[in-house]
Amino acid sequence: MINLLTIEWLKLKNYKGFWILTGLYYVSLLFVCTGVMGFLYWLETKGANFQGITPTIIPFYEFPDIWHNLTYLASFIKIFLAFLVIISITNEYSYRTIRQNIIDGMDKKGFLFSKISLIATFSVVNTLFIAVVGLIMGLIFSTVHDLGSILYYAEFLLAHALELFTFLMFAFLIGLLVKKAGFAIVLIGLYSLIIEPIISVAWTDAIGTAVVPFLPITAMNHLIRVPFQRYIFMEIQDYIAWKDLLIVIGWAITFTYLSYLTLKKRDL
Amino acid sequence: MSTVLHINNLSKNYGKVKALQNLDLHVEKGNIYGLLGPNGSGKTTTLGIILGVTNASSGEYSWFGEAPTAQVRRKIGAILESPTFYPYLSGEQNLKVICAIKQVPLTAIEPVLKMVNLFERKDDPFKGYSLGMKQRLAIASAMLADPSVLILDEPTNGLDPQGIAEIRELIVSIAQSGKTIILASHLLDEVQKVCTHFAVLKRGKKIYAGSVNEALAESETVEMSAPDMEALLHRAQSFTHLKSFQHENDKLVVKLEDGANVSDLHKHLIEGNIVLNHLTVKRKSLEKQFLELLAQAND
Repeated sequence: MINLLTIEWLKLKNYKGFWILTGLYYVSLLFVCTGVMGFLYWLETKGANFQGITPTIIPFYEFPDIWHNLTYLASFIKIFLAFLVIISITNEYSYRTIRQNIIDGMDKKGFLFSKISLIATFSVVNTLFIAVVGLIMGLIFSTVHDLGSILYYAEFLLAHALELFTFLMFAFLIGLLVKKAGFAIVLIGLYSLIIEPIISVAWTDAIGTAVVPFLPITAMNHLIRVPFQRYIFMEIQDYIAWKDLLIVIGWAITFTYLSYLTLKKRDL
Repeated sequence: MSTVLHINNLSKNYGKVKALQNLDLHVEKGNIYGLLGPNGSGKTTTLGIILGVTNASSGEYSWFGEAPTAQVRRKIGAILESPTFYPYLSGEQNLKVICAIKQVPLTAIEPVLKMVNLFERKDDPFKGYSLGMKQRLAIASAMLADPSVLILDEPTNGLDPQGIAEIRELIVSIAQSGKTIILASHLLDEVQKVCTHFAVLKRGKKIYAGSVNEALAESETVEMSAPDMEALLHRAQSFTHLKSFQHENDKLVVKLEDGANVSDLHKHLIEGNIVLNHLTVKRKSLEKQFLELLAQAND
């Protein structure tokens, strides 16, 4: 496994385009994670208030709610990370290097695992990034600093890692199937931002209500639910539901297995 | 001799197109094996299958007597069609990726880069290389793990005459080091110069396999003339190992049976007191032989 990650690292280490996009992504993630206070101040200057509450008193960075808040926000830009995964697989096709890798002595499983190791690394790095930024922001803005409060909602970080891994495996599968970066990016954008959200909103009969929670993007979105209504004293789901967790794990396994089948069956 | 590659009844269909039909092939250790055939005859399909990138429809093959696995492929150096590398990586960085795949130490890189004369350009990105340099880097990468078998598919495709000469020299010197080489090419001159064995494919079928020397010896032609042509014709006819006998343009042209040689014929003529004023032994080129084989397969 280490060797497979090494191979992937050697391919990407000197790839400028990849590092520029990765850098931009993490700068964006940093803005998303740290910019909320600024955003709330801006709302206040515009005279916004939520049912009599001024925005700046919303304790967004309060432990332990911060983990739920941050992981929810961070999932909005995961699609940009998916582009990187798509580029990393479609490049192998456009340069025909996947073929040469196999000829040189990788097996198809090994090739898949090397890409999975990249995806897993992204998921872990992303989660650690949010953990560190969250910790710093929390220590600055939170009124409680005890370890119990800090760790209380840490499960959201793990759920975020799983959500990201599943989504990136989805992106990988699409990239693998269509082989063209541009086409794959448009496809995943259309499906995850437009098609499935519309289906999940519009399909409201009995069958739809039963099926929609099992759709991949919906399931991933259900893993970490919207946390913000708690600030207007509404009930929220402040835990990870077993059902959502199992559905997402099911999709992660499905995407991985379909990728394996595609690689195995296809002539390179 | 030990078998390096054994192909048994291999077929590949693309939908209704039969790209390869029931191919059998043996390559022994030390062979320089030419795989010949017109474009679309199944050469690259065959190589793709034995290198694990194309799935066979039926049949099997083995390397070194073992079932084919990725591990086995690491002992093979191969380039299929055009050189494929990461364009944004330098020559050396590309070879590092391959070292990691083949699990050979990075120290293997310098000697192969020097062998193909690319050591000075090792830090330049691959995308800036000329076609000849790309092809040389491909050969360097194939040699990286010091493989006992080298597979080259059209290694001189698209090169200028100087590039072709360079690659050919490289192949000859690699062949002299005792490695087994499988070379797919439509440049017959190339195959004749370096190969010990060859097989001819046509529309996915093997129509010939054998050693280059035998193929050429089989068609050994002897051309003779004598001051007394009548006597020569008469005497020569009594030689029992003739395959064909033709009198053309004041010359007698004969083909000898397998196993017979020119000195036996000459001795036979001397014993009949025939004095020659002309004797040449013509070996047919592989090109002629190849075209004949293809023509025969048409019938």
